[in-house]
Amino acid sequence: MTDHRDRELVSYLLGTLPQDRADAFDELSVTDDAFAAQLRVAEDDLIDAFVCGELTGETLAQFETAYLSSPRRRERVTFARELRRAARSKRDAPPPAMPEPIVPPPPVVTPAARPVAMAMRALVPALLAIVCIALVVDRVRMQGELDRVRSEITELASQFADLLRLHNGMTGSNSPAPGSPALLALRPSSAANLDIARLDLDPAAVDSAFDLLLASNPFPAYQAELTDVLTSERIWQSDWIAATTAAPPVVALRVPARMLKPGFYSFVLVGRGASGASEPVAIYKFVRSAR
Amino acid sequence: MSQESLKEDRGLTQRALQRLLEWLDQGMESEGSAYLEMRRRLVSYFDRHQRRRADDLADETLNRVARALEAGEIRITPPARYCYVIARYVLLEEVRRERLEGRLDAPDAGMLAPAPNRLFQREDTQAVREQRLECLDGCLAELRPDQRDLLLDYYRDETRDKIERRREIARRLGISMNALAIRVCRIRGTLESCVGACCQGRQKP
Repeated sequence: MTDHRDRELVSYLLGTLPQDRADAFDELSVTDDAFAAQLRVAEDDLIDAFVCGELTGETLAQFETAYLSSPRRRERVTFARELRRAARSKRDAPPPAMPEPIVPPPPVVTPAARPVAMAMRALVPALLAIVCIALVVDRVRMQGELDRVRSEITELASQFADLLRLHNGMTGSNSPAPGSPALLALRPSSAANLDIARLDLDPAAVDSAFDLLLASNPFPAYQAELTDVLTSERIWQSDWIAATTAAPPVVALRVPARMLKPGFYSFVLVGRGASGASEPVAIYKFVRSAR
Repeated sequence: MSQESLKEDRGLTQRALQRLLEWLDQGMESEGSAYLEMRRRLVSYFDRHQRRRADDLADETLNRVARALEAGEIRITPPARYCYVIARYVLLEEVRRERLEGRLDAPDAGMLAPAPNRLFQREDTQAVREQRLECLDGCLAELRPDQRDLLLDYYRDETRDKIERRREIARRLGISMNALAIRVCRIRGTLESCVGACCQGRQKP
C-alpha cells in the first residue's frame, strides 16, 4: 500500500475525505475484499498510533473528536490498549531458566563532572533542532529526485525487458498478430525472478490475455488486481476465478486493452480459501512498451 | 463460526437464513464466515455514518437481503454489491425516520455525539477492567499457539524496534510486510470478537 493510499484511508476513517471520494470508499469498504482488508489494517494502525501517543496535530484532534465519537470505536481503542499490555507483559516476562543478568553499577557523577553534564543537557534541544531541520531539507530534495526517477522508470523498465529478451533469445515471442489479443505468461516476482516481462500490444487489440503462473494451487478461487506501479492507482480487478488444473496451474485473465496505456504494471493475486478468508498469493510485474 | 452467533430475525425463517448463507458463500463452504464478514463490514459502514444502532441496521440490511432472495428479486451481482445497495437504503430510511420523529431540533439524537479525548477517560470499575483482562487472557488461550505467538510478537515492541521486529517476522514467514499486516489483522479481529462476546456474556444477568 502506498503512502498516498494510507493517507486517504486515514482521512476516510477520520471523516475528512472529500464527499465523492468518501462515497467511493463507502462502497469499496463493503464490496471489495482487498479494500476491506486494507481498511481494517489502516484502522488498526491508526488506533495503535493513538494508543502509543504517536498521533499529533490535526490528526490527533480529528481522532479525538470524530473517531472517538462512537462507543464501538472507543471499545476498539480499549481493546488495543489491553492487547498492547498483554504483548508487553510477554516481552517483559523474564525468559525461563535464564541466569540473572549482571547489572553494572550506575555511573558515579563526581562534582567536577557536574558542569559538563549540565552543559550537555542544555545542548541536547539545540542538537535535536539542527537534526530536524537537516531531515526536512533532505526530504524536500529527495522528493524532487523521486519525481525525476519516476519519469525514467517506465523507459528503463521497457529497455530492461528488451535486453532480457535479447539475452534469453526470445525476441518477438510476445508479438501478437495484428488485431489479435496479446498473450503474456507471467511468473511471480521474487528474489529469484527479477525479470520484467514486456507486453507488445497491437493498437487494434480489444483485450490482452495474461497467464499468471502458480507454483502450487492451494485455493479454489483467485482474484487479480492490476495496479499502475508509478501512480499506485488500481485500474482493474478480475472476478473470483479458479486456476487451471494443468501443470503448472495458471490463472488466466483477459484485461481490456484500453486499460493498458504504456507504463509499468503489477498484478497482485489474492487467493480465497474454503473458509472465505483471502490471502495474498503473488505479485507479477510487466511493462507495456510505448512502441 | 466462532464467537459471534448468527442472529435470526423474528421474521426470518431458518430456510431463508440458510439460503442467505449459501448465497453469500458463492459456491464455497465458508461455515458462516462470509456472513459474519459481511455483517462486520455493514456494522462498520453504519458506525462510520455515526449511527448509534449500527448492529441493528446491519441485521436489518441482511434480513431484507434474505427476504429479497426468497422472493427471487435479486438481479444485482455480486452479493456484496447488492448488500451495499440495500445498506444505503437502510441508512437513508434511518436518517428520514429520525427526522420524522421530530428530531430535527436535536440533530445529534440518533447520531453519535463528538467525544473529545479529555472526556474519553474510561470510567470502568476495577471489576470491569479485571473482567476484560480475564476475557482477553481466555480468548488468547483459545487461539492456535502459532497465531497467539505471532500476534503477541507483532505487538510486543514500540517505535523503531517494532519495524525491525515485523520485518524479521515477515522474512521468517516468507511473506511481504503487507501480507503479514493483513494476517495479523485477521487474528486480531478474531480475538477482538471473542473478547467482545465474552464481556457481553458476563454482563448479562
